[in-house]
Amino acid sequence: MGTAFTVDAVFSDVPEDDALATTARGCQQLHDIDAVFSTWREISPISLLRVGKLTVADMPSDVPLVLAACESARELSGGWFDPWAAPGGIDPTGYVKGWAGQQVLETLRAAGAVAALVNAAGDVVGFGEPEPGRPWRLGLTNPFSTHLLLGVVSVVDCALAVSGTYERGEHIYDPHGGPSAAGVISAAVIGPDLGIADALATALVAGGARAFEHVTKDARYEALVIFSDGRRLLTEPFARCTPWNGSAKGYTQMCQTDISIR
Amino acid sequence: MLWKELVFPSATFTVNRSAASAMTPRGSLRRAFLLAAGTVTGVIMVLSYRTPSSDVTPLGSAQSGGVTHSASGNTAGNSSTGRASTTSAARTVTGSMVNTQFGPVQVQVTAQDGQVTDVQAVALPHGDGRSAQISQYAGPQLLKQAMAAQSAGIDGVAGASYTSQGFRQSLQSALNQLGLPS
Repeated sequence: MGTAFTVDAVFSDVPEDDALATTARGCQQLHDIDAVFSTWREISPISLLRVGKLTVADMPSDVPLVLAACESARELSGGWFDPWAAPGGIDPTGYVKGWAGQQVLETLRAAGAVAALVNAAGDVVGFGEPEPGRPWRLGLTNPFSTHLLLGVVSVVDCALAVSGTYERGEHIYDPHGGPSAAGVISAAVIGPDLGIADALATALVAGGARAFEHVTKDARYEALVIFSDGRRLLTEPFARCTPWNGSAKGYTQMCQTDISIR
Repeated sequence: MLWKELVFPSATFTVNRSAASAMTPRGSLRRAFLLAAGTVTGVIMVLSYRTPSSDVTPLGSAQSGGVTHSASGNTAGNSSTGRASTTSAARTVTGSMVNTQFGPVQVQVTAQDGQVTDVQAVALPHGDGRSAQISQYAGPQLLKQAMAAQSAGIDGVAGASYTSQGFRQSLQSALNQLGLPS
């Protein structure tokens, strides 16, 4: 089993081989990013940075860029996203997954795709229309019943990042902070950049209502926080979903309503 | 959008031939599927990467990632023609067993009246006990999610991290046996 990344690209008047080569390049880009940033590889640059064997000056050029973006995310989130506070050394993972997806999207765009969708293991970003007249449509996982959806989000040139504790079962080890001290089971963020959205979603899981206050100060980002007891905090675009019954045991009704962003 | 593509997008490309002529200047939809083992991760990490039987493998390894090209003949144009019709009796078939770097994977699919009604995992990767537990927990959830996703008519799911190329391949063979569009 493994985390899955998918790349969808729509091309117009492009030979099949070229289109295939472009999506393959996108996948390769994810491989390359992983080689630098995976904290699971002891010899990756980020791992060596974490233990102090190398300094930022020794890093590939993407690393300082990523760290700078993480500083912005830390500010935006009121400190609830803080890679520098991670045990074991700096850990930008909460940003990197989304950033990787965004980078691949830009690769596809630069290669002439007329539309594309990149799903970085649950964090998604898209541009363009997969078919004329309709946007990319994304299901949002119901954290209480993960085989169901909470609703459908229409993505128009923006990103949707989700973070949560619901994929942890008793058998799944979550090294990045464990259960949410704020009682959050899932958080979703919509915004112009998947990397920042990913970091903000991570912050919302950690900080709950207090992080929500910070995140929602930035008008570019929409937020949804769902607590284990069924309470939720959300900004207006998320509020257009059919109201939940709010039961602490979960949402028994599959909510299927469009939320159009931008 | 066919449900196979939602959670287990094919590593093949699908050429929307029938639609392309009607949708100028639209071209074809290309997709690539990457199974990343020990990968760029967010908050969630699968424990099986820590099992003794599976080292954290480089992404370039044979079983993972990359784009494969197969002319399956199952084009996206099928979605506009609807599903193949079947008898009203439910049929259950077992897909091919697929060897993955984490172990063998095999799924069983039940369909009735042209609709997939259930998916069960028959064989799942098992390095040690913990890997098997993860498979038991995550596998069926994902497959059921694919069923829910299909009815919603969506292009992808946000908030679900896991899938397996082994599942996809075994699932595809089961769908082929059932004569369902893929």
